[in-house]
Amino acid sequence: AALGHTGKSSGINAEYGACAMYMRHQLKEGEKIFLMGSNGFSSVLKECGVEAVGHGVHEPMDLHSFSTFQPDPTVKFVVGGFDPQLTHTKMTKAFIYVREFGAEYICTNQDLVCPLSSSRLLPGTGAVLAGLTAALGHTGKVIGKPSPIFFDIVAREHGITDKSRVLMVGDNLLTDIQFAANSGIDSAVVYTGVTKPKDVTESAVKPTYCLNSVAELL
Amino acid sequence: AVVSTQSTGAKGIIDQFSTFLIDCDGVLWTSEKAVKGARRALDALVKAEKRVILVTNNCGRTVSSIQRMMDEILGIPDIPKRDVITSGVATAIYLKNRMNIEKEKVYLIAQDAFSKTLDDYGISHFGLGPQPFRNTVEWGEFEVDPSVKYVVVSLDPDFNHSKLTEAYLYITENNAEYIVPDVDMFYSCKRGDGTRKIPGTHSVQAGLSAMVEKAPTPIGKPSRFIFDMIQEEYGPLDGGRTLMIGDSYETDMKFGFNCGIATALVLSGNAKKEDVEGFERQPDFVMDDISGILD
Repeated sequence: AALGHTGKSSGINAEYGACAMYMRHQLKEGEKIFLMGSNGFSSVLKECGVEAVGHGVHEPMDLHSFSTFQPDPTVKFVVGGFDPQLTHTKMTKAFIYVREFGAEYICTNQDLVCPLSSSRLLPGTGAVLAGLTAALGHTGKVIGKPSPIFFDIVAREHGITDKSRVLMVGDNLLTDIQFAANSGIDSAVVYTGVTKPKDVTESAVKPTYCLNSVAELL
Repeated sequence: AVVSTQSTGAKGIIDQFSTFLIDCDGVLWTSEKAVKGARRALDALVKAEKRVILVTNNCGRTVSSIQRMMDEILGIPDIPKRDVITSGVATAIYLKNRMNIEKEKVYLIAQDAFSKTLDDYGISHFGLGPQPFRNTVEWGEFEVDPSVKYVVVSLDPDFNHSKLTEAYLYITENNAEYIVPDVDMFYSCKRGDGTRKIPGTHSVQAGLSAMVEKAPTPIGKPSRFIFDMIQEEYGPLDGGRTLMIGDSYETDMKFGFNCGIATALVLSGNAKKEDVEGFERQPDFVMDDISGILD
């Protein structure tokens, strides 16, 4: 079976869904998360019954204001995604939750950049969360591609038990194909997106199949 | 008290040196309270007519606020402006000596005190304060002003995706110089009786540094830029009779090593006694606090 819903257009939402499902299984009664994420991510989490604090815009705080910052004691996890409202102030609170209060840190992905056009790149989730990664010394648990955790969540939710019958189809070697390799499933790269044959030759990770487009699956 | 020394001379520390470069936080004060022994040490230095230069990476304070703290907390009312060097001041001087003020602009990611410091030196800048998120359409249409030739990145409580993107565009599309006044990983603030460690400037730089290929220009400690700059601006120092006193191995001690001057680590701030034996290179002196120079 092809994991159709992990295709590019719903890629971001699939990671939000997977993360929300993961968090639902992790949280005990009364426990909350500190969220660094978009309104879309916040909605998905709410739908999954995950309670979040910290979402949205934070008043800037200088160094000395942090002396009196008191975290919410019911927060057991810090969850990070692409957050248009993440400032250094908000990120510092996330750091305090993890470093001082032992909250576990989960993120949707670590993609450093996302191409805006052929000449401009925009910072991706990885760049937005880079400050927290640097301060903590680690990225936290990555749920989305290329982490195999993503596969485990999707497989569980869809009752997939036989890995040999699963094919991952994608256009990105670093996320889609690496994800397949990490998850122990076959992969097919399509040349209709960011990857061209020359990239496959130069890549350390190789897809099982190379297709000109998804039409060739038939 | 002096905990350890690499020196074999019988002379007191204060007599061995003519110039004292002193870090502020954790050495002279912690969160606006004097460190034990700091007042005594400074009085002795003033009495012995030693040159005292404060060298701090902290660009969250202006020079005048540090002068005021020296007066109110430590009873030293008249430390001259030129002997108070913050990484903000050093960046301003760096820019002043290089910029074409008429034609070139500075994009600034920093706190308010830093912007005031640049203003003091007549360096005009923009970018301070909150910046709303721009979506992909807005970024597609964003026009990069080609006169922005310098991007200065320091601690900014408002730093966000928008500022990161704008800085990235000036660096990659204008080949703007990427300047880092300090690279401190953490700062400390008071928390009850102890301190709380929070992410510092390095955190603000992390995403940008990962995205651009060129290495940034370092200004603050441990780079020796400030040491060379003091001498270019104000006259030579006798390197053989200069001592750097600080509480951080990574910034203060490495600064001393890079400048080829003597080093004294105090244990009243960042560094703890247990850290000392693990250092790859031993400072010349290790002391509980700055009053150890009186021994």
